[in-house]
Amino acid sequence: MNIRASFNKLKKDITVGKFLAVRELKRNNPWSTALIIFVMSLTFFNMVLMGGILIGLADGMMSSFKTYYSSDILVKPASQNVSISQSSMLDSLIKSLPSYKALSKRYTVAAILENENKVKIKDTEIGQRVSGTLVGINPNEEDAVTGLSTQIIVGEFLSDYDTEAILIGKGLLVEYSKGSSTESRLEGVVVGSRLKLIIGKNNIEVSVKGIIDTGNTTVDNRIFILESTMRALINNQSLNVNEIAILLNQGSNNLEAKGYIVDNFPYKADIVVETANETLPKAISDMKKTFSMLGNIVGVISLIVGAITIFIVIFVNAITRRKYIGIMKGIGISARAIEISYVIQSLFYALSGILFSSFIIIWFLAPWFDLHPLKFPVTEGKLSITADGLILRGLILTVTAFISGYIPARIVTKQNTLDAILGR
Amino acid sequence: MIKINNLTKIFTIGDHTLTALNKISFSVPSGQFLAITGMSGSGKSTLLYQLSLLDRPNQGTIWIENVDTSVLTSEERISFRLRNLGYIFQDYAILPMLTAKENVMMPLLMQGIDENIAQKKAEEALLKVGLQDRLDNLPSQLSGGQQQRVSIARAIVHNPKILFADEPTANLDTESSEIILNIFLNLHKQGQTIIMVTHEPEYAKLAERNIELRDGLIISETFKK
Repeated sequence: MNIRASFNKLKKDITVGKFLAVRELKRNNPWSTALIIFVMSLTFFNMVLMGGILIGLADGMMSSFKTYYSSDILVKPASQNVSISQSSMLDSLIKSLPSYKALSKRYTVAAILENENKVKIKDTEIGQRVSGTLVGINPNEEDAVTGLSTQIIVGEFLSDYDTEAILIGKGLLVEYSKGSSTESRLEGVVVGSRLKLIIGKNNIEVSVKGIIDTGNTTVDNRIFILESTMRALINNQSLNVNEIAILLNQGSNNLEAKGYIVDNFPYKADIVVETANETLPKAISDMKKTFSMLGNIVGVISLIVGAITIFIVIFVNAITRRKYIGIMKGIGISARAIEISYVIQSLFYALSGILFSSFIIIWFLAPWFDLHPLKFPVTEGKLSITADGLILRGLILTVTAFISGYIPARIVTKQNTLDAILGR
Repeated sequence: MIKINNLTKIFTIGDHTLTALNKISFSVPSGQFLAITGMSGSGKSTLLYQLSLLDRPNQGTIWIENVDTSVLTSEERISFRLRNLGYIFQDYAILPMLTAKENVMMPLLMQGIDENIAQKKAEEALLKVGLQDRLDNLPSQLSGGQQQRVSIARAIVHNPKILFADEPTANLDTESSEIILNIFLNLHKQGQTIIMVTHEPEYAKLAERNIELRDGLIISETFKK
């Protein structure tokens, strides 16, 4: 048979297959059709959602780390140094970056916060003292880089005049971190509480101006204070800072900016310059890989369930219509046309399920997760779904449906025509 | 024209063998209305299955319109049936998910005929069997006699060279049976070759030629005068 004849035959088979499939679908019990489409939707949901939530969780960690801590680039002192040498010179250099948008210089030191009222009640009671990193900031600079003021859940952000006020991360407070871990935290602290801030041998009394919740454990375990207050407290006259977080213009190349700083700073041996990704703890990137793998495993299991569902639906349908399949072959309908009709039906179920669930995911679930992220102790989880991922999973389910529809149809159509007609 | 030579069909069930057709030979010229009769188990349906290429004989040859059908593959037999044969089943065997018209359109669509033309031809075929007012009814909305007429329309819509009918009146009342037989007689008048299996002698007498089988052998052959 030449190619043209084969093509014409295929065309006829497709026409007849489509004719049969459309009528079969139209005249099926609508509830059965709806149920099959619903199962396919659940299969697709499972393929997309579980992975999306798990990856979204890892993305949330990475995103909060970048947004509220490192920004696009973070400069730290090299391991042998306590602070960044020639911070002022570095400040000028950073501001000369073509992609520069904002920076925040931070002074950091280990500190203890003590709730004196609590100590007086009972010495052994938890929450009376807590250790954390005290960060001296210029509120305007910090807000320009990290938008920290938007993460105040109670109280207000620091102003330039709040010389005796602090912002405290929720991770240091019992009321906001219940069930997280057994580390000691302060109890009963509210906005306006007076606490003793101890740094080495120095201490001052400060009041709580606001409580921070960024979803990032590093930031949420910090105490923020005005840089001027902090420098006075630790007697720092050098103006050398401990961290510089740099925000670049959107779409800028972080690596290029990093290279610019490293190449042009004369004391580069004294600093460590890292892009946001390089700053991430290895645990987070490992977690993303693991979550991604778990998501894929759940997706594969869902795919198998979906494939079996379609196989059973088509097989039962074909087996119960075995006699009619025999009759069709008896009146001259080719086996391939009959197989095509079943494949079209299974593709219809799969594509309807994919479209329905994609609609729900894109228009309802993704926006809903954006507005109501899943609260995890370490971060907030949003739904991480890309168009590419959605299309890829849709294609995988479609191909699976094609195979799952074809195999049972083939099993039934290849049976002897007369046996099928007579039910032997 | 059909030529059958030494046609033998043997069924094996466990250790037992049953010879359903035993070296049968005869021919059917074009345009003939042949009735095959016999008691239950005589081999008449088995013979029809072999002639209509729904089954393969163990021995012997069947030539239809100068084609040796024994050399055809399964797909070629389906294609041959589509182009040359029409088949009417005892239990109507129309597809439940298709309307009367759609059932009749099927062989035409499979031949690659355009859907609109197929619709017109199907309507014409249904008009021939008196079902012009039941075109869009599903089988479940038709009586047994009407379903059998749909089956006839489907079998003749593509102008087959030979029309096979396997006890077409077996499940019908007398009135419906007479309608069906009148349709056959009309088709025969128009030159249609018809081979009908029946166990009812009075219906067999309407045919031009009558072959009676017993135990897989032809025991008598009569021609209508």
